[in-house]
Amino acid sequence: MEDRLLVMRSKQGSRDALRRIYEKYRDGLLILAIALSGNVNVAEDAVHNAFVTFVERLEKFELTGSLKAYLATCVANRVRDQMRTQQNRAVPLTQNCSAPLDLSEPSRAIVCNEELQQLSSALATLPHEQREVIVLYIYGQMRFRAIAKSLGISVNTVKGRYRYGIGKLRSILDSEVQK
Amino acid sequence: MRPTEKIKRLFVKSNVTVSSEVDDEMIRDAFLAFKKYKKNSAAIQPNIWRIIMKSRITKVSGVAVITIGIIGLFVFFGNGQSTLHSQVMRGLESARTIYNVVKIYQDGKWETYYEVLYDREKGVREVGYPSNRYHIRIDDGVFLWHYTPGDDFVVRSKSIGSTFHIGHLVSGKWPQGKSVRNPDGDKVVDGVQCQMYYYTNPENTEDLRLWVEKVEEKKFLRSWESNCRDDNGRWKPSKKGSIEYNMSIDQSVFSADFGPNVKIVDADQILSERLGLDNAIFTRKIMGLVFAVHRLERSEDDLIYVSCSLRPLEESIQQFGAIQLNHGEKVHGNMELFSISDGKICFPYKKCRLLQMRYNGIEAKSWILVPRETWSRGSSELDLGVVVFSRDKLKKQRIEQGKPENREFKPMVTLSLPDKLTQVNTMISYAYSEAEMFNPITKVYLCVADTELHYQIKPFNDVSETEFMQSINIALEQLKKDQY
Repeated sequence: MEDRLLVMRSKQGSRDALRRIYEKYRDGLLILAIALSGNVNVAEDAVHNAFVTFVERLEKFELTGSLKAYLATCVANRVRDQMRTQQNRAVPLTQNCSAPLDLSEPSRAIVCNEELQQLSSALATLPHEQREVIVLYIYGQMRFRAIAKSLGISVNTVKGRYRYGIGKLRSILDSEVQK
Repeated sequence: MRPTEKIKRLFVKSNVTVSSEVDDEMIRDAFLAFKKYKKNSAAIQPNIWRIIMKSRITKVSGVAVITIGIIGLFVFFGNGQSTLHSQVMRGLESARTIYNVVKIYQDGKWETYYEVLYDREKGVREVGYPSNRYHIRIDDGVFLWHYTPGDDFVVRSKSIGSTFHIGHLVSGKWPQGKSVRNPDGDKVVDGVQCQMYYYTNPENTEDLRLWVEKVEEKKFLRSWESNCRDDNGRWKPSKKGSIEYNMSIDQSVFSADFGPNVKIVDADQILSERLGLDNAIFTRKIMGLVFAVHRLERSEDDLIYVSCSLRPLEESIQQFGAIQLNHGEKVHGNMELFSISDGKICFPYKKCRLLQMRYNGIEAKSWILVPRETWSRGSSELDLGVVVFSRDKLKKQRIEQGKPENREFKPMVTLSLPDKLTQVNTMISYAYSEAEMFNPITKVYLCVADTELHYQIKPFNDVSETEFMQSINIALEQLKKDQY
């Protein structure tokens, strides 16, 4: 079902529509949050908080653009907040994304595949600001202008962060290839 | 490869597998937020009283719904009790917790019919006693759990708020009429001085006495009793109820823990897999309903297996109310395949019905179609003749609007038959396994035919797979020979 219809029906009180929004975007938002934070627990909390906040603000919410981009921005904001709070630094997922093996806490298992671990490892080498822009641009499919607006910075700053980040990734990814 | 493309490719190939517990937690919290949202949303819920008076009993918040459940009898009284009703509603609405017990008078004694525990934050637990289909239902805001003590399974489905209380009271025959204040009947209930109000129906065959506590602009319904006339015209007790407010309730009662050996049957998953509209072969909206074809098979000798469903559109549910509490008896519409209309053969097949069931307003049926002589052998298409009947409030509305209450489609759709051939016994087995799958969730009926093609509708539990297989094979053989 189209996002606009799902949002409309959610606003009318349909739990089913709300559930479908969650199910539609859950995996993507978790991937985005894991890529940004490199930490499964932070990612889970960020998606959780973003979704609950989305519901709480549903009454005043108007879908003007893409719901995916909106939720992606919400999650990115939550990740940033949480990482600030916890003073977390992104670390490669090879250390952190082992939840399925953590049998002591199986109920919170989120299993990341190899590509996500690789992605997270590469992005973890970047400062969070650059990582955020790259993830929102490539994965969130947001324009630089929209990213700038959501982050409250200028478009040129966004472009700069993107350019520096990509440049750094090039060297990292190239060196991986050479290995 | 450019780093942007490489990152994109990694994103595309990235994947997470999320455990159901993570989902449950997120959905539960989102729904809790949603509950608050709905409560605060003037657009959705302008006024609980107004909603109730308009009898739009759909997906409103827990408080609103439980108020209908407890004193649902008022809703159908008519116009005369607005003041008392609204005051009682306000009382119920303001309660943090509610404990409601309803008793029924049977064989000269009072027996507990059901009891309801409600906590605004935690959910609702309803226990029905033997006089009322012994069962436990818990709605924790995320899931609705339905358990029959003694079973080794519990049926889990999406939360419906607290709506499941409605069915019991409103399904009873309650007196209609205007309330009368009767100070002579005032009494103390649970240490609280209460005022008495009295109702009787116009025929004076049923009455209801209510005791309410007045607190400012609210009234707390504390107790009620109803009588009805027996065959000799004498009054006899019928039902009574008592309601407590804001008492402490052990939170564990809202926990869906039915023991370690009780497995969970996921009703929504079964419905989605077997009767989901997303993976249906064909769907069509008709008269506020959705008709769907879910499975189509053909055998070597051109017997065709077809399974279909009919369900109300979301708009119809919003308009007429969800049908989720009536043990599968009620639907907004039903359907039948046909090949003969007004005595004329319209389609080149005869039909043998296999199963039928209803759940949450959805009707599902399956058939094996037997080709007539006019059937073109090896035909790659099937014209499906369908008649759709509106029922209940939908039917009433259509009649009021001057629209036909039923519609016949000649055909509804032309379906492409699969190239792959399926054995007839496999088709019958599939119908049986489908019945077996739905049986824990709702009442499923199998059609068993004798040698003279007299069909009997039997509950699934009364028919073995062997008996079903034999009877359908006999019916099919008879249908093949039948000239009409």
